[in-house]
Amino acid sequence: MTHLLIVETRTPLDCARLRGVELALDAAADVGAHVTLWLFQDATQLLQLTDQQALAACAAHPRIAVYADAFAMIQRGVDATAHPDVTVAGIDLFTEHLLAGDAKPVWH
Amino acid sequence: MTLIKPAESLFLGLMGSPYSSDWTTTFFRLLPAALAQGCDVTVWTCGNATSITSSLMRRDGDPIHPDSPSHVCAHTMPQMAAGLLAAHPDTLRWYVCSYCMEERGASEQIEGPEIKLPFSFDTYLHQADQALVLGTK
Repeated sequence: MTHLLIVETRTPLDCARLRGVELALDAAADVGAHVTLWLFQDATQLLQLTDQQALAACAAHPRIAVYADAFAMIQRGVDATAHPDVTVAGIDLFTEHLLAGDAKPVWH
Repeated sequence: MTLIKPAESLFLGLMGSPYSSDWTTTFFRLLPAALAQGCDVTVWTCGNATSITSSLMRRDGDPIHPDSPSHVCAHTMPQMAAGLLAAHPDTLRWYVCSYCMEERGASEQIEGPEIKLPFSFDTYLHQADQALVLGTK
């Protein structure tokens, strides 16, 4: 099974399309891929934006696991408990995911 | 059942401008983390990212610290790159695209990075077990 490691760094407030989030949902739905979606940098603010639709769809999907970078959340004052279905973790775990060997990484 | 071997080598392609977003912060956190996990890392800089190792970069006091955002790092990006290269001489390689570097007047590079022709990108990319390109839109 295809495994995608997708990094989303943007928010809808600074980018017209969240291509990382879109790719996560499309890949999980269309080709049955297993997706690990990491929110880095400004994308950690997705956890507390008013519009939670896309993130909620990812978090609820059985083949998508969502993680958020703790460092970026602290930088931006994002509440670590903002979304119960998102795992807050550090760069070491992301690196483990990246080096796991079975994932195709995509950066947006 | 097929056991998947973890990647032992990583190619990190850097494409964006150093200060266009927070991506360099992520990069300078990811690189030491990968080295600490025993990975051989190849860094390739293209475009404006070639100035990350420019010896002429003079923006001090960047708020980048690999461990905690509550710290303010006193080192510039070239200094951080030089420190990582000195600390990991056997496992870190840093390549700078010659065309991109020259086009942008970033030819004054710190010691350590090697200047490479653009087409060698493909060679180093395919030599690595895993690859991630950062700084793209």
